[in-house]
Order: sequence, then structure tokens, then C-alpha cells
Amino acid sequence: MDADIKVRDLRKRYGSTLAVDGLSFTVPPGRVTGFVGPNGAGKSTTMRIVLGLDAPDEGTALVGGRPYRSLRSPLRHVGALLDAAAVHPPRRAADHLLWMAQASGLPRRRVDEVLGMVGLESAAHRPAGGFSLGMRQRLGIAAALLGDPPILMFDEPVNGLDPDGIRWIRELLRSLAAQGRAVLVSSHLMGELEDTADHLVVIGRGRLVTETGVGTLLAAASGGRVALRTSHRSEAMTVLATAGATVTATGRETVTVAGLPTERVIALLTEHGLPFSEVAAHRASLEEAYMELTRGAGEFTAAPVRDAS
Amino acid sequence: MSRILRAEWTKLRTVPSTAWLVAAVVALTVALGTAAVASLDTEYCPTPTTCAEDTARISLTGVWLGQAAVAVLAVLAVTNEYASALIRSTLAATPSRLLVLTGKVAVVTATVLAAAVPGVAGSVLAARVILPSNGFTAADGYAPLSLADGPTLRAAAGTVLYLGLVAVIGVGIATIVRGTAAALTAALTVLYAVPLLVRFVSDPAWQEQLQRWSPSSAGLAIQATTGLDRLPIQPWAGLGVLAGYAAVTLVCAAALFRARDAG
Repeated sequence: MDADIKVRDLRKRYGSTLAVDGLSFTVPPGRVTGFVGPNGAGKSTTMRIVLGLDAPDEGTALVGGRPYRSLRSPLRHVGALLDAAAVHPPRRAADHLLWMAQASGLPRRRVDEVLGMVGLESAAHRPAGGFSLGMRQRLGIAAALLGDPPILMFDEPVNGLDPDGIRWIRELLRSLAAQGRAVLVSSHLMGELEDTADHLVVIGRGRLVTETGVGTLLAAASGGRVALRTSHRSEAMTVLATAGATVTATGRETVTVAGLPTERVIALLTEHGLPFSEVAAHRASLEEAYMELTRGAGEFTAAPVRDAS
Repeated sequence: MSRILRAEWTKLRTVPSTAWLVAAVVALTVALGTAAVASLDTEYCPTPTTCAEDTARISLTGVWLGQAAVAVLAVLAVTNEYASALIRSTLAATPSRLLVLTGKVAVVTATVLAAAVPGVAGSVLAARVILPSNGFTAADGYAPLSLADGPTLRAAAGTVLYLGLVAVIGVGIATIVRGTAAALTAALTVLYAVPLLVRFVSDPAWQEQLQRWSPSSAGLAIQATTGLDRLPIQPWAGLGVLAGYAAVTLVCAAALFRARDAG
């Protein structure tokens, strides 16, 4: 069985809301694919459809080339963390994993193994209802790992984790991908994926915005701009604009220059006797690149705050 | 099939409320039955053959309370999953809705049957001990209540089956409704509304129709051991009516469960 997720022309409507609108993308094996979009963009809906929980109105979602509902032991093929609260509170953590193992014909020892992998051994016999959000996330991740599946999906796995937990899950995601598994991780915060994902599927309003590599996206967003720091900001802006650059003030002493190479910027400033303390190629953050891409794609866009005075 | 049965059994036994509700089924059934038998005397029993009291049926009165605990147990087994979104884990592990529903019904019903046996046996035993001290003595010609007696055995075994069918209806209604409050209200209405309503119906013909076709009144005809010719519906036919309701509920539940998103 191939370890991949293929979504083709997916469409899903809930009442009057079109949650997913003709979405297609592929999650290949051996990589962490980030699934990003604003809240309400359709990420969770897509993941529920991939898991056969919700039925699409149109289109297909295949895991390893097959519809999820046709799998006889699905947890051996796909592991998923959908929401950390999907545990009945009075039931103990180990019992929650035990019934899942039994439903998939997995041996009982897998329960202890995955509890160890997520660091919950000592809490195994406590009711899951008393867990912190971070512990419930770990329990959900343990459940996803139960069947040692080649395909994994995590919906907002970083939610509720402390910095140690965040580092832990990043390493886990990377190591799962390094083992050749297909890993899909959703997030509405691009920055969370900056050091984790190799590949990005960006969606907004249920549609694909772009499917691209992280490096490509960053390069495109940076757009060959130069960041400059100078105490003579306005003079520098005039000089550079006259030379044909698009200059934007970003702070009291900082400007961003587009349309001129770094060497030319330095030459012009020197020529006009303008001092500067920093010139560097501007490196966009994933967050910036994402904002650029999804502008207007959110379900709810806040109006700019107006000054009341 | 064995996988889903094991998984559902683990789910049911690993929440503390299950043990309490099983204990409640036994305790409530025996307690109310004992109270009913204890308040019985021979006033309407000039002789054993003309006795108007159906002692076997009265000893099993406790089913009226025990069935409420059964309904709660069956409803919670389903609605707890929706309340906690656990249903998503369930359907991710076992995508076949029919398999999940079958497993749930089988495990909950088996558990209720296992609780009903001591509840019913305890009720009959308590009556056997108490009745002689209320004047139903062997010396006066009243045979001790015994499961060796055909009609009494039918009443007792039928009551166990009755509670099993209540469990099936409870799981079915909960699968249809999904919310705890709404499902409990619906299940208890099905069990208690008509028997209560009958008291306000003055026309005897209507009364008889209601008792013949209401789930609990018809189903509990299985408890009658005397005066069978005056019953609105015969014992096994009555239990059959209840089984019909259970089957219809289950078919509706299965159809909706398959058609709807996981929730």
C-alpha cells in the first residue's frame, strides 16, 4: 500500500456553509506536509472526510489509494489526532487505548508502547478527564501511533502544549516523516510549521490557495528585497526612489527597498554620503508569506481598527 | 465481529457508571418487587382457585423501576460518545456503522440480560419467602412460588427478555437522537407515557387498544400467570409487540447512523 493521501475535487456543504469547495492536493510519503489556512478555511472538514467520518458531496479522498471506509483495520493504515477532547472523561487513558487496539486487532502491548512514546506511562491509569490539555494532546497522539500507520494526520497538534511539548512534537513529526511516513499537520499559525514542514498546502474558504515547498514560498515572498537601517531615512528614501526603487519605511530608521540589488543600494548611499548601519537581503518569515497568500481568503476578516478620536 | 464486541465491552466496562447502573437494575427490581409482595394479603383470595391476585406477576412489579435504570444504561452507552466526540474515534477505528451499532446493541443487551437474571430471580425468591407470612401458606392450599411452575417460569424468563428489549430500544433511540437529555426523555416516554395515559381514558375499548399496542403494557403481558382470558393481549404476543418496536427502532437507527456524518 502506498503511503499517501490524495484529495481530488472535494466539495462539502453543511447547511448554507460551503466548507470545502473543489479542493485537490496530495500528501506524499517521507515528508511533513503543513496544512494551513485561517480558522474556518476547511482544514478540519477535509481531515474528517479523509477519515470517512463525514461524507463528501463531491470528489474523493483516498488513503494509500483506497477510500478510508473500505479499510478493514484502518488504524494500521492511518493514524489521526482530530481533537484532543475525543476521549470519554471517566475512562482511564490505558483503557481508552485498549478498546481502540481491540477494535483494530492490535496486541495489548501496543498500548504500553505508545504510552511510553508520548511520555504518559505514569498517567496510564488515571481518568483522562483529569488530564491537562497538553496531556490529552499526548493521549490523542498515542492513539494515532497505536497501529504504527504509514499515514498520519494531526489537526492542530501544538494546541495547549508548553514549549517543551512543542519541541517534542516537532521532533516527533520530523522523525515520523524521516521513517518514510506521510505526515499531514494542520495549523492556523504558519510560524508553528516554520521549522517542521517541508511542503505546504495552503487553503482559504475551502479552496486551494497554493501547494508549494516551504523554501519556494519564502523566496517568492522575500522577492529580492533589501532591508536597510540608516539615521538619514528620508534622504535615503529620496535617493533610492529616484534611482527607480520602491521604498517602504518600516520603522523610524528602517526601510525596505525593492527593485534594486544590494550592491547598487550600497553604491548609491555611499555616493550621496548617507551613513547606514545595516544592509541585508530581506528574509520573509513564513508568517509574512502566508499573510500575503491568504489575504482575503479568511472566513472572517477583521476590519482595521479605526482611531476613535 | 469479535473485535468490535471486545472493543465495545471494554468501553462499557471501563466507565464507573456502568457498574452502578447494573447494580441499580438488580436492586430496584428486587426492592420494588419485595415491597409489592409485602403489602399483599389474602383479602381478595377466598380460596386458592378463586384468588384474584397474580402473585407471580406482583413479585415481578420491580421491573417498572428496573427498566428505568436499563434505559439510562443503554442511552448513556451511546450518547456519552456524542457528548465527548468519542464517536469520531469509534468510527475511525471501525468505519462500518452497521458493525458499530451491532456491537453496541449486543454488548449493552447482554449486560442488561446478565443484570436482569439476578434481579428477576431475587424478586421471585423474595416473594417465595414473604408470601407465606402474608397468609399464602401451603396449609391453606397456596403452592409456594416456584420457577418449576410453567407459567411462573415464563413470567420470570419473559421479564428478563423484556428488559433486554428495553435495552435494544434504548440504544436505538439514543442513536437516532444522539443527545443525552433528549434520548432519555424519549426512552422514558416510550416506557411510561401510555401506562400513565390509560388512567385518563374512560372508554374501556380504547383502554384495551392502548394496552395492547403500547410497548411496556404489551411487553409486560408476559408476566401474567392467571386470568389470561381477560388480558388485552396474550403473553408471548405482547412480548412480540415490544420486539416489533425494538426492531423498528433499530432499523431507523441503522439507516440514520449510516446516512449521517459522524457528528
